[in-house]
Amino acid sequence: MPAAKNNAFMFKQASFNESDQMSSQDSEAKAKNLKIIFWLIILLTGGTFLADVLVQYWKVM
Amino acid sequence: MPNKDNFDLNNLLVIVNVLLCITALVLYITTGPNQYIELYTVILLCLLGSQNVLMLLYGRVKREPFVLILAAITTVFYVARVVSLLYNPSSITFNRSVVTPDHINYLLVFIMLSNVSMFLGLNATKRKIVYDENIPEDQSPAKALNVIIILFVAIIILYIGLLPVSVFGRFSGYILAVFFRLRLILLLSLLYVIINFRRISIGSRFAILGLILLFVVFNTITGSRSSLLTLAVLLLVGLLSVKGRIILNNKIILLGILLIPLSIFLYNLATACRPFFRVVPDVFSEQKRLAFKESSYLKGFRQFDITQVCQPVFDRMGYLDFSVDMIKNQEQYSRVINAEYYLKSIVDNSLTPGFNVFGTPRTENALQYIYRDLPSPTHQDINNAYHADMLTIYGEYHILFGKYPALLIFFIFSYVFKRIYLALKSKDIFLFFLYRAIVLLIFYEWLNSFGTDWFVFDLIGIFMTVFLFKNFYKMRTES
Repeated sequence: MPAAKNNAFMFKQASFNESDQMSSQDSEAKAKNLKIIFWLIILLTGGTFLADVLVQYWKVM
Repeated sequence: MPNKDNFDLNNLLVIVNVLLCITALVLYITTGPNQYIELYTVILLCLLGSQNVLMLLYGRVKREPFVLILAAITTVFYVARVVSLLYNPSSITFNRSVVTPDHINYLLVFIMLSNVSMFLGLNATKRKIVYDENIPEDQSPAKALNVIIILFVAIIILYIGLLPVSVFGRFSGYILAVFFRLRLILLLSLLYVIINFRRISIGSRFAILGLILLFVVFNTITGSRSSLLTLAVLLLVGLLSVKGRIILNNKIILLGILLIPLSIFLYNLATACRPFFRVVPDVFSEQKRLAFKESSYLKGFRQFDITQVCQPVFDRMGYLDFSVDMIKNQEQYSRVINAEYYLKSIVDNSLTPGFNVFGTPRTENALQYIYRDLPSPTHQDINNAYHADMLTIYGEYHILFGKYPALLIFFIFSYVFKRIYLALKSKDIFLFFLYRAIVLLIFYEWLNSFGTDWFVFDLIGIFMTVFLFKNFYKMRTES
């Protein structure tokens, strides 16, 4: 590769989003898994918070 | 490509979390509750462990370094600490005031909420981190001799730091902390080896890694207790910045397992060595030699008492203890954890070297005057009896912003960290990964907060040191 051309190359974050990369079935399965894990985290934390509110209420009563 | 003998750090931490939760349940069943832990605490601990596991699985698929750092800190310094409190219900920090399981339960729920806010902030952008380790043909590594000389100078400076301050004047501490931050020199050197591993000679590799090890050993025997942890963190951020994941093989896992008892020994040894190096002229006086021999930190080794050996380490890694203490006594601590105090402290300690405008010591140093119920300290008081306490981000932001507003702040900060990480760019591949590693290091230090005033000072030191030294490490471009 010519040096001048190479020097112009810049290391940076590529500006595509996730969906551009998802082409194979494997990627689709990964994306689905990620979604499931994401919602599990939200549900687990939300559920813990609500349960804790109930426990505190029960302790006061 | 990872083969079947290789193991992802995320997976290892998943197993550690599961083992910690099982250990907590077994310990609770066999020993029952104590003054700090009740059944509800163990249930909350298992929920926090589950949250960690899910985040680690998510981070593994996405090669998300921030999530890995967040989950690793929570695992080592919070989940493991609750288990250690079940094993041995003792804490120096908890002696400051009466702590009950309710305080710990409150913190565990707050940590779960805070971590999910950070997780959402880190994933609020759809852009994905891209990893490309290919070095362009026209870029070659900087001279290894530069790296070796700088590391050598760092070790010399470490020795000079032991000499009385008057030799180098009143600015020596400030100059070293801002312009020659030793931790950053280590990071630069590690990153140099990681990026150019196959492009530098074996001799250079050994020389640099040998000097890094010498630095850690020298640091330990002169009383720095966290040398191995610092090295592990720098290695973690260095590798994550380049590869986005850490693949471990059986040998490395075995080495890690061996390093755990070694780090416990080194921690106790460094603490016992501390009095030796307070005043250099009489380092080896008979009195100090006797003090070292009788040090309580080495007593556990002499008596083969594992509980006694581990106790100082449990106390030091008890970031949970600091968070609990902060939140429990937030009214008292808010005297030094507020915007006005931080502003004065930043002016005095970061922006005006050599003189003070307000006479305000850093929050990390002033905290002991609050819990010991002493009058507000001056800089002279701090110099006479130096002591720093950790605030942790959970404790500090809970006091600064309040419980629920703090969650929003966590979200915003994490989002900003991720956006900065995604926006980094450089023509030079070394600088590109260096900037990434620095953002990860700053994220790590933000989580383990010693106060916003300290954080600002740390940022100044990081930027100045990197600005001064990066050119010695960056790639050489052949024209």
